[in-house]
Amino acid sequence: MVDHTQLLAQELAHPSCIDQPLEHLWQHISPLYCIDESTWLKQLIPLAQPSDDELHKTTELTTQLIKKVRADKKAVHMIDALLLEYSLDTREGVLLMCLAEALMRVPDSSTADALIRDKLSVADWQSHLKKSDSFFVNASTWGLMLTGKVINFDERENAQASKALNRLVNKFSEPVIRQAMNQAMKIMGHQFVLGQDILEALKNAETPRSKGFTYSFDMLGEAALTMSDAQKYYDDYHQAITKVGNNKSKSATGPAPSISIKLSALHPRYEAANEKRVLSELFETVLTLLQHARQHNVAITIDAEEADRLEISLKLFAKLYQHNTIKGWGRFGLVVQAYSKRALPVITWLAALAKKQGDCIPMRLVKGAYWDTELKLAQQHGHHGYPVYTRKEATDVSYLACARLLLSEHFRGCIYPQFASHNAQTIAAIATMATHQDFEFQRLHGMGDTLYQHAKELLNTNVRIYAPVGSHKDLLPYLVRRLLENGANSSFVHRLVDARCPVKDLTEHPVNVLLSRSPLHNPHIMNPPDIFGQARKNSKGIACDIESEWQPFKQQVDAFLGNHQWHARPIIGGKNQAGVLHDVTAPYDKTLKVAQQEWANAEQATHAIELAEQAFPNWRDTPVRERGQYLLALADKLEQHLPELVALCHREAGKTVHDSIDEVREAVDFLRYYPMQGEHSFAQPSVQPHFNGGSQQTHYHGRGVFVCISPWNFPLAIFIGQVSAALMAGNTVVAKPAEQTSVIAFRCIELLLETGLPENVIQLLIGSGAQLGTTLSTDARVAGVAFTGSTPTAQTINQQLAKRHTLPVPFIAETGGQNAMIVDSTALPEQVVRDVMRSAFASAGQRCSALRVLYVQQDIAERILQLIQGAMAQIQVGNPEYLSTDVGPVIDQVAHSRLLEHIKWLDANAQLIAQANLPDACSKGTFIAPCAYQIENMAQLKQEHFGPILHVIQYKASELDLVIDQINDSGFGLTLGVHSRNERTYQHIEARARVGNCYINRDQVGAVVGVQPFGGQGLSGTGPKAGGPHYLYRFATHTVCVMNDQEANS
Amino acid sequence: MSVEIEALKHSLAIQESWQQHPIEERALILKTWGERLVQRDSHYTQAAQMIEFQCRQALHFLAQPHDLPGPTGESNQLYCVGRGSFLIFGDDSAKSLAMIGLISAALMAGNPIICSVDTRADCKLTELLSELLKAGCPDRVAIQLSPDLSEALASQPLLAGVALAGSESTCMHYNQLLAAREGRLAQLIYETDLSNLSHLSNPSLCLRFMTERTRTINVTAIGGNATLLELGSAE
Repeated sequence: MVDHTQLLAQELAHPSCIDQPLEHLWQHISPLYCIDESTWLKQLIPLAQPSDDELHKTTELTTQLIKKVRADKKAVHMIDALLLEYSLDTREGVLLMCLAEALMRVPDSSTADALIRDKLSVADWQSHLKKSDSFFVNASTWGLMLTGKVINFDERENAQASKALNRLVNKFSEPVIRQAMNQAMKIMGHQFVLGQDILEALKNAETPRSKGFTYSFDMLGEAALTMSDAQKYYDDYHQAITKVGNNKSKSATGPAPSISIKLSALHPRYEAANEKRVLSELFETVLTLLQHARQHNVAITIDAEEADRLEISLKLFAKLYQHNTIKGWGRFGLVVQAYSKRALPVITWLAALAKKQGDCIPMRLVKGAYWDTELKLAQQHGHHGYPVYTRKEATDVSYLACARLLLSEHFRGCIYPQFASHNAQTIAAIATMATHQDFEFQRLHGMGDTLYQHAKELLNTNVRIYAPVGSHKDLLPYLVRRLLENGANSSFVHRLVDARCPVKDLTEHPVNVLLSRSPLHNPHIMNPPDIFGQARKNSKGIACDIESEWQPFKQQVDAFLGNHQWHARPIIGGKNQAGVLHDVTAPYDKTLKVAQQEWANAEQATHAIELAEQAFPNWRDTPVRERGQYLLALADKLEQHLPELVALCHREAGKTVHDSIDEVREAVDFLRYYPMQGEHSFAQPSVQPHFNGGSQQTHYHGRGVFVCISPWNFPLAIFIGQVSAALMAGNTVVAKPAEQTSVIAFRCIELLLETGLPENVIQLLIGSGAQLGTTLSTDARVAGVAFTGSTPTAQTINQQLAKRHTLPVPFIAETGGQNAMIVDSTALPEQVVRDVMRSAFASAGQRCSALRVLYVQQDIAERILQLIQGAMAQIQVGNPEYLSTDVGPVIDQVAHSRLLEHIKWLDANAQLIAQANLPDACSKGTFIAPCAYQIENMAQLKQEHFGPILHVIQYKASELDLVIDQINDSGFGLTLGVHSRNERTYQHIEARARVGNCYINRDQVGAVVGVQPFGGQGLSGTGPKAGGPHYLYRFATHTVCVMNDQEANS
Repeated sequence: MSVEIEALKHSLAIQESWQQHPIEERALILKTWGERLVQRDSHYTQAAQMIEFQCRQALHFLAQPHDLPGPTGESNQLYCVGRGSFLIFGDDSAKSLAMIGLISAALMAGNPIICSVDTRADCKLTELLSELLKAGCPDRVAIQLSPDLSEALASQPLLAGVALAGSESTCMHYNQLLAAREGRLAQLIYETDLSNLSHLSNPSLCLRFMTERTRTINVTAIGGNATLLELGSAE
């Protein structure tokens, strides 16, 4: 890739470039998605590099601007002062934002009071008192401090005489505090929101417009989860266009105002995976808005969102832009984010698009607001790099490189650049670079007011204010993101008004700053493959939304679809064995034969144990590191064979694309984690004092033949997870995968043997669980069993093991769950429902960790249920081979019938909330339409229902502990989700709930090896947790050698 | 209500608070127990060393939560808590030292216990538990039960497990008893090597008495990720 992109930046900047065919230029965009940061920056730097004269002028202009701002007594507006005082590196700053984000949406006063108490009582407000010159900040601090004091007082008291009095004061003061805090939040809201509706916004915009400023109005809100929310946003935009178009301000002296549109607000499935829907349904929606806007001549800008949506947004933009009714308008534009490594080829492609059509494209260049999210997603998904730069100065360089191109003569008339920045240096650099006036600056309402007052005077350029419009309740999450974005010490806004910061520091050119860094990328931010440090590599994922990553991968997967047939056999003594033939069909199409299996019999199982037993001594004595090498080699092999394994996951297990990739990734993670743990715990004997005095040396080693019985829901990951742990601890293994998914297990063992692993160390038995399971668990030579599956099967195996005339052996069982999620009224409903959808319905609910019972606080239940209904209407059930499919089939007919039986019971005994649509194409497979029902209490559920069925229970805020008791009383204890912004609430729930994995403010599925070791308690299993630091001990036994002190010292 | 069920009810009632008792405090109680036993009779010297050993190992393995590295914007921790109520049982071949080892390991991991020993065993259980109570062990955390009720107790589905000192045949018998139960799978932890106490000398024995929990907190939930900003820019 590096060779391929050498000199690409230069090529893209060349005037002739925009005359190239669009398809050709498009090809440059996607491959830069995760390009090596330093390599690409080296190409960008020459574009951003100023000449000596330019540098001189820029520095002078920046200095002039800063001095003017600092001399201006009005410079530090209320919100700037607040940002300055409560920066993100103070606990108080973070707490204040947490409160701002949640308080206004909490409907019930008791929860609101608890939230205020939670946030205010732990901070040190006094330290901020009188540090700021702003009356607003000091007044706020007094308020916060007093509030904190009152609350702390209550916390501290025990059985003092004053207790009753204080409590009384507190009782009386709670409504006052709540009111005061709500008021404070509204004040903060006013700073960032121009108006609560478009008319108010237009009214408030009049004075700035009379001074020559103009506006881009944005209807605030989260991404739409449902069609009705999308419709609401559509109506808002439509109305705003009308009002803005009809608004004939007499006093306005600048350009006409425009409207910014967030595509994710207009369609609940605005995702690359749903390209067809985006390019048809969303296309139609936006087109109608654009036609309406054109009628009223109100310019429209499409906002930029996450990196994964960039390519689909460009495709949509081009289709709209080239539409007959939009051609020739020249007022339809979009936003490009400079922190994206793809920014430069994007703007070149846009310029070529404009040139071809002959209409100008207004284009806002921003630095980008989703930086943290982009880093996190790339790490979670195991991408090979980041889509964004890791240093701020790198983004600044990219910004200036893009600006140079946007201001060039050959771009003039094609792109109308709109530079959004609050950085005086950036403004000065652009003004200096520009040889013409065909551009404008943009700033956010509530920020950089003074800076732009002076910039406008000095530079005589157009300035447009990006102004959020909407209710304060809707705006707060958005506001917090802005605060987080700009609150850091390094942020220019912050330092501009901080007189302690030398002007010289603020005038430094980003190119020079970046060149002073070595390396050019930020070495503190590990690349996604390296987030686990030196010890092990993160498993490799595929960026399915990125054309250059997805298409080649898809082609490789397709090679194993079509007519490809697999054939799996038992492997005993390293050789494939013959057995009784069974056909394997795809769960999503029972007429599609995908493989044949040959099943082993009891005799072969006994022979497998014999061979494994013979191989045990040698394997036990094989050095720990050497044992680990085989597993590490297999991890690499699985990654090499990812396409085939993904195809097998589709065909044999009915897994969707993302689930299939995650399946292989988890297997790879196990194979890299256990060798690391083995090396750490078993490679050297540990020495400790003996209880008889003196010292003891402890060696851990294998126990003998371990039987590993794995389930069909994680046919590769759990299968090889068990096997690799047993092998790593020094046991030989007889593995028995689920009969539904033995083909992938067979391929895995074939690959394992290819690593050179001694052939008798691993035996693979394919066949009937009932028959082989009994043979294996009744054999006296078996030294331990690892099992994942149902609770009743675990009990049967346990009984069979106990019947043998031997001492008990380890039985490691991971079984089911009756997993709950508790949601209180401080939670963000959209985030809750997004997490509920994934937790309950991903993998068709066939995960041990899947959400079964959702507890929602009554006060917000109505909104949550509405969102669930709307979101469920968007679930796409179908062929799991398609990227657009959300939910595939359940595993087989038996599972299908059981689930239908439970749904029948629910129909008679519960209230249906929603059921997803089941397309006709599903008739050939074992599909269950995801559904949600409201029930009274958890005790109504007698067992786990392993499929896409969600049960919802409403609870009163005062009943939280009863809810926890109900969950504990179920006897299961696997996963629990909690959604609350109140730290004390979620800590309390987490401490009391007897579950293995508790997830707070996120979904509750997708545990990552070594990060969220997985396993439960009670009816959910024996532990220890798979993928955790204690797992291997249970597979091993120990030998203690007692030494006298002299021996120990030597 | 039968005696063993009542005992279990009492034990379960104290489970949550004993589990939330800091492990260091549990260790202090047990060490005091050892000291008191030695003061009472010098033949408990080895018992005190056994308590010390189990406390040290439990502190080593269980005291600190594991911070698990993961993607940015999320905090992940693994920590250990008790499994629930345990029956600590000794058959006629059991000895004090083994019983003390099992009691210490079970309590250190955060489990309340119900103890029972065959009357013929070389173990003065009443004396041991009385000293444990005097050492500061909260009421109901360690309950004594008549040995003839131990099998009935072991058959109760809410009992988390049995820790046993005795012969191999007793061990196999209890294994079958536990396997025959409905409900959760119980742990059977045993010391059958009563001369060398080889199981009790396993430094990681305490792991058998605990269950692990992970807690994952999405710290980007409020809309941004302050921790990333704190990383700085390697200037």
